[in-house]
Amino acid sequence: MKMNMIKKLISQTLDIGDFIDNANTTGYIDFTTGTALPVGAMVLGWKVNVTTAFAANTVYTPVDGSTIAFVQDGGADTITDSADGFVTAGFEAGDVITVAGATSAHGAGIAIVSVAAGTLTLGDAVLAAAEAGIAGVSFTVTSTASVQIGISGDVNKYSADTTETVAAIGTVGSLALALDTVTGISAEKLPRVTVTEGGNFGALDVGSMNATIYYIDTRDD
Amino acid sequence: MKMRMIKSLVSQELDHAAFTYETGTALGNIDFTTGLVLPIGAMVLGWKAVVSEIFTGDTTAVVQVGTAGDVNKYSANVAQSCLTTGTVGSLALAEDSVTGFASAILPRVTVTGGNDWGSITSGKMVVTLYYIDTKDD
Repeated sequence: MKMNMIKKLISQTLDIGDFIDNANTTGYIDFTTGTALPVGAMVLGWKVNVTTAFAANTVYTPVDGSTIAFVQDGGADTITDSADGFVTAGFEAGDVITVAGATSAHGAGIAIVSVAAGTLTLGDAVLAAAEAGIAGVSFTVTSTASVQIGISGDVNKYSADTTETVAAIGTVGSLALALDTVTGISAEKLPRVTVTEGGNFGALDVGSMNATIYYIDTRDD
Repeated sequence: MKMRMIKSLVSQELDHAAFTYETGTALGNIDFTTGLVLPIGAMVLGWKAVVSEIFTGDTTAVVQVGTAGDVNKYSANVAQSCLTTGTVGSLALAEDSVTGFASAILPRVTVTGGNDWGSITSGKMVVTLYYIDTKDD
C-alpha cells in the first residue's frame, strides 16, 4: 500500500481582459503554458476564488428617458426609443437588464430578445405596466456569469457543476465530472476556464479570479 | 483537524489467462489476490489501469472495476478501453462507491469484449485503486 498526497495546480490571475470571447455567451482562458496537469493527474475537483465580481458595469441611459416607452401589446413586450438610441448605446440581443427610475417596478432579469435602433424586443408579458416619457430611466446589464473548468474540446471535463457563479466575490467550486475526468490521463492536460454570461460574454466589463485544481498524482504507483 | 493521505491498493498483474470466463457472455473477471482487499472504511475515489499488453482478439475490450456483486461499483466510466497499451481510469461511481464500506471489500476487475470473452486471446494490466482511509475518524 502506498500513500499519495492530493496535489494542486494554481492558475495565473484570470482577468476578464485576458479571456477570449467566443462571440456568443461564453469566453475562455487557458492556464498559462507550462502550468499543465501532469501525466497521470486524476482530477478530483476545483475551486475558484473570485476577487473581482464578473459584471457589466455599463449603465445605459439612451438619449433621454423622456423618449422611452414601455409597451405591452399582448405578445412580446417592447421598450421603444423614439430617438432611436438603443444600438448606439450598446444594447445587444441576449443582454439581461435591470430597469431603474421607472414608475412601475419592472424589476430585474429582463432578457432582451432582439435589438433595433428604436426597439428592444423582450419576452411575453415581462413588463409590469405600460408607461412612457419617464425622464431619468436607466438600464443596467445584469451579470449571471458562471464558471466551469475543463480543457479545449471538453470544457466541463472537470466540472460536475457548471453553474457556479462568478458574479459575486467569493469562493465557488465543483467536484470533477466523474465520467470524464480521468479520460486521457496518459497525456498532460492544459486546463481551460470558461465563463458563461447569460446574455453575451462581451457584455462583461470587469472580473478577476484564480482557479485551483486538486488532483491525485498517480504517476509513481 | 486531521490530515488524510490518499492511499492506494495495487493489484497483482492481471493476466488474461487468469480471468474467469462468464460463460456465454462477453465478460471475463478477476478478483484481486486474496489479501489484497480494501480495508474497512475505505472510501474509494477512483482507479487507474496500466495496460502493458493489449487485450486482443475482439473488436472492443473495456475495463471496469467493482466487486463481485456490483461490477461497476468503482467506475463512473465503464467504457475505458484496454484494447491498447497505456493508462486509463475512472473516478468511482458516486452513488455506490461508499456503500458497504463497513466491511473489507475484495475488488473485482471485469473486462467486456465485443462479442464473447472467449474471443480474447491475450492481455495484461495492473489496476490501482485510490481511497481515503476513514477508519480512524
